[in-house]
Amino acid sequence: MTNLHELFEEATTVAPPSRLSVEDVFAAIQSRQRRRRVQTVLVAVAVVAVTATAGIALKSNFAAPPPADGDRPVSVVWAGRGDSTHLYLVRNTCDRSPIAAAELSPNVRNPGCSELLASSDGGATWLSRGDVAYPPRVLGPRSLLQFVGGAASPAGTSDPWQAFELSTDGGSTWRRLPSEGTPIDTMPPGMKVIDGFSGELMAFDPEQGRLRRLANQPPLLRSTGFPVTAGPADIWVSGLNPSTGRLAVAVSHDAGATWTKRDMPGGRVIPQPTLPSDTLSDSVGMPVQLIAGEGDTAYASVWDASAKPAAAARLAGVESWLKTYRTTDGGDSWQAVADGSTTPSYAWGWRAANGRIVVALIRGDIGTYATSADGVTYAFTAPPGLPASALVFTDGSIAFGYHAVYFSDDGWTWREVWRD
Amino acid sequence: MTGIEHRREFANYFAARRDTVRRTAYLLCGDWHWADDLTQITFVRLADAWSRVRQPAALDAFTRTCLVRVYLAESRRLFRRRERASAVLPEVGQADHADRINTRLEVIEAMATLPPRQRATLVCRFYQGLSVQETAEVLDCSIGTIKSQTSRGLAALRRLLGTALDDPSLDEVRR
Repeated sequence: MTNLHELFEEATTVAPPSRLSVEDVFAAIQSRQRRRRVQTVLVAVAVVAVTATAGIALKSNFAAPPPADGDRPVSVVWAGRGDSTHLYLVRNTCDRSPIAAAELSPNVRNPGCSELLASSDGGATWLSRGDVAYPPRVLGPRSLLQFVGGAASPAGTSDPWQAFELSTDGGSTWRRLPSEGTPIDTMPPGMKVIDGFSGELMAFDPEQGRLRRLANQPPLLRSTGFPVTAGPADIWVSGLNPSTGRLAVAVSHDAGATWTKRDMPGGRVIPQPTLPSDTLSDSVGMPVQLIAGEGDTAYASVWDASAKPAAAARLAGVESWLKTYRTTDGGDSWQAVADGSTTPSYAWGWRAANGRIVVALIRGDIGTYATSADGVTYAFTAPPGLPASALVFTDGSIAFGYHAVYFSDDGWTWREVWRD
Repeated sequence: MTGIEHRREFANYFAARRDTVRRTAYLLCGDWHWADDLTQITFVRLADAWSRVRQPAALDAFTRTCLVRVYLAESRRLFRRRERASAVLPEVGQADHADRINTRLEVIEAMATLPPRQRATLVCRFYQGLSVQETAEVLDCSIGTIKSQTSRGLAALRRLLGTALDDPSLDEVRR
């Protein structure tokens, strides 16, 4: 018999050593003061510009920097891209956190709080498509997939129910998909591999509008992240090796028929979560981030307990425990691409059309960017138009912050396409 | 923050309170990396107000309030759900430690199922030892709300933890 205070004390008994020092706090204070000064100057410049051009409205994306967030409810909860003209976002319409609801009932409808907006002109204009589940998957320029479910069947039974709904008109209308057919052994050409909301890979047939489960799933516990395809027959996914508890990458070079998995280097071992389904919990997140390369080359960032933040990252005000690795043999072996002085740690990464690898390092409310031409040597430079307020990257073409969405055709040059 | 004397005082306070704040942050968020972030943001805000809050007792209360409100604000933010990673190493080994380890993980997992405000209420009440009134001030809500949040939070923890949380004194607290 134990009281709650004792349980709380017990729960915090074994604390890992903290890297947080008072110097970090002083550095953060200085950084915050610098940001405030810059914002003040920019706002003043904007005011002067408005005054000077009397009557000429400044476009919002060239005016003042994003407002300080404070406790303002998050506006953007998701954004996705169909192609260069068809863009989507889900807006929080409630004066409360969408996260609290999502934590309680992930992937279940949150009526009245998640509004889908769609643009068919590259973000110039947006139309409401009404309430949607959170978040949908983008399957094509006008094709979206959402997962719906509830505690009781519409037929009146008490069993939980779940289903997929497909829209082929950009979210205007939805139709319930038939139950999945027989699992398929390999991904046929023309089908799209997607993350089926439950950590399983599924194949979507755009012609028949059907979902099929991949028979041979990658042998990993997976977060509900996104599979990475590096070629017509190559599928790369990341997750947790259940037999070792280590972060791992699984690769299929035959369209999903067979898989090989490799534990990533580094010391981090994650306890296997106790979950009803074989997925990593959201609290674990996506511990391995993959960047598809060309052919047998790919990059991955790994949460690594032994990795110290790169010196350059620390100078940029970024502290992280991620480490960057590269494979050049199709995932059979991984090597740290450089030592800590030049290797950035990153949260999201992509390869731009110009061949440069871009990595986004997020710390608190600030995004910092490092880019590399050779995948080994990185410099702290932001791609043109990509602001520090972009915090979440759906892929190398869509990013969003708390109140704005950014888009890039080529992964290098960015522009703001929506702001609350 | 300006002045060598202020920096020295702040550094002393940071050294004395960092681990306490960090442990409280961990109970709130269930992740040591995130707890470090919350701790840093809390101390940055405290530094902003350092010249206005000088009494040690008031400092602790201010820090506590900062931490809880930072956590509630941060918990709304989407990207946290995506980038969180576990810092907890699996603790294999001695059988006689197994129960304690299980209990530790169960408590954190059980807390993770609660909404953020319920979590904050329970941490204030049963870890920080605050009264209902003090907790209401920290969370900036009514006493009635604190009572109902406490009741619901405890009920949920009882369901999840079973006999590990079978303490009649908690019923006293709820009243």
